[in-house]
Amino acid sequence: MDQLFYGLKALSFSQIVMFIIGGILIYLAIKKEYEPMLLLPIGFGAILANIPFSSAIGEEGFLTLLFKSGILTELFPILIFIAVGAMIDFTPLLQQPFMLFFGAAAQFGIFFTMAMAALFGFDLKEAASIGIIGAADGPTSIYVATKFARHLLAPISVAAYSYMSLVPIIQPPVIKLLTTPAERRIHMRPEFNVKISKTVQILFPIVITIITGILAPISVALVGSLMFGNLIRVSGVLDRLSKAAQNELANLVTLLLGITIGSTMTAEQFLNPSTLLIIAMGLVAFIFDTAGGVIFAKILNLFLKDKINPMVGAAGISAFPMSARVIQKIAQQEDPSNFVLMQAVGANVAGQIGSIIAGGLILTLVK
Amino acid sequence: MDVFFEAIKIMVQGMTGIFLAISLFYIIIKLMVRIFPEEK
Repeated sequence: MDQLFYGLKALSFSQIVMFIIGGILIYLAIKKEYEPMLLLPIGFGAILANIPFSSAIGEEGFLTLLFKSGILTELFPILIFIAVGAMIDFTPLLQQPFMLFFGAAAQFGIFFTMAMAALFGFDLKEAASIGIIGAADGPTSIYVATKFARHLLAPISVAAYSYMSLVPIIQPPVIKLLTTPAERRIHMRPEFNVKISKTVQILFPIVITIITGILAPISVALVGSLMFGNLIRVSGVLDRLSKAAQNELANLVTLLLGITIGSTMTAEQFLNPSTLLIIAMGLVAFIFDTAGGVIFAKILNLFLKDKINPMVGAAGISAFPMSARVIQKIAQQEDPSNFVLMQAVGANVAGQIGSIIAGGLILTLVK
Repeated sequence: MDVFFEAIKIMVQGMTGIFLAISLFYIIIKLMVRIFPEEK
């Protein structure tokens, strides 16, 4: 009889709490549709990992094998980058390259949060891994955390994906706090008459990879895989591969990535004060990313004749395309005739490049 | 506090690095669009 109940006898209170946390993530995924492709597998992975004597984890558990072969080797984030690269259309950015600068400014939250985390007693590598939540880019967060602070991988991933899904809730109040209604009503001159040739579209991923690689060799895996995916897309001769990367590869790796990350959420690793602190600081990172982009645009407006709608600066975070949609929605609330969507999309795409460069620089600068 | 000051130093270097890289990309895109214009 004892053998039938040995699992029940070993069940601890903290494991029950983890079941509830896993359940909340699944609830958020299904009911609220917050990043369901990630939060649902993460939630279920958390439940699998916290069942006493779970055969899913441990030396020979399939989730441990996936963790060792997909996360520790950094293979999953890299494969996701290939898929993301195949999904991105860089044309709006190539038409208005000025938007690139917002993709740089909106990475401020990463470094600000890193400094805050250092103040709270985390060491430099842990602080950098927490700050990178502000990249608003799950694979980059996982990539950096795997290299610098594996023991914090679970809370960092959960925070990164949760806040990405909460962009429509986080960004508007920050934007409204930092801008006046008159600024939010600024119409921007469209620059979409510029036609981008096929040659430029093909050269762009190749040239960016070479330059970024030379500047920060450690970022080659990140940038190279993203740009490889994009090259497949724009080449025009690999349609089948491009579609496979956008669909089959993305879906399969996302599925495995989510449940594997969830499996690291064991009670002993997850239920501690630092998890709460990391989740709180993830929010700080997103707030200061948004603020960095908006304030940068406002500073530029001091010198520019054709003013920029400062809300576009907030789209410089990597959460694509949610952030651009949020900006357009606020712009139309202020003035229904105002269309800043394409400018915001340009800044949003720039944010994806900016976040990867930020990740590469963090890996280069933090020793 | 040493870690905090180190993080501030990385913040300055990091943001400078991002803006430098982005400026370079900006110039490259402008050049590429000029050198390889869309054929009409």
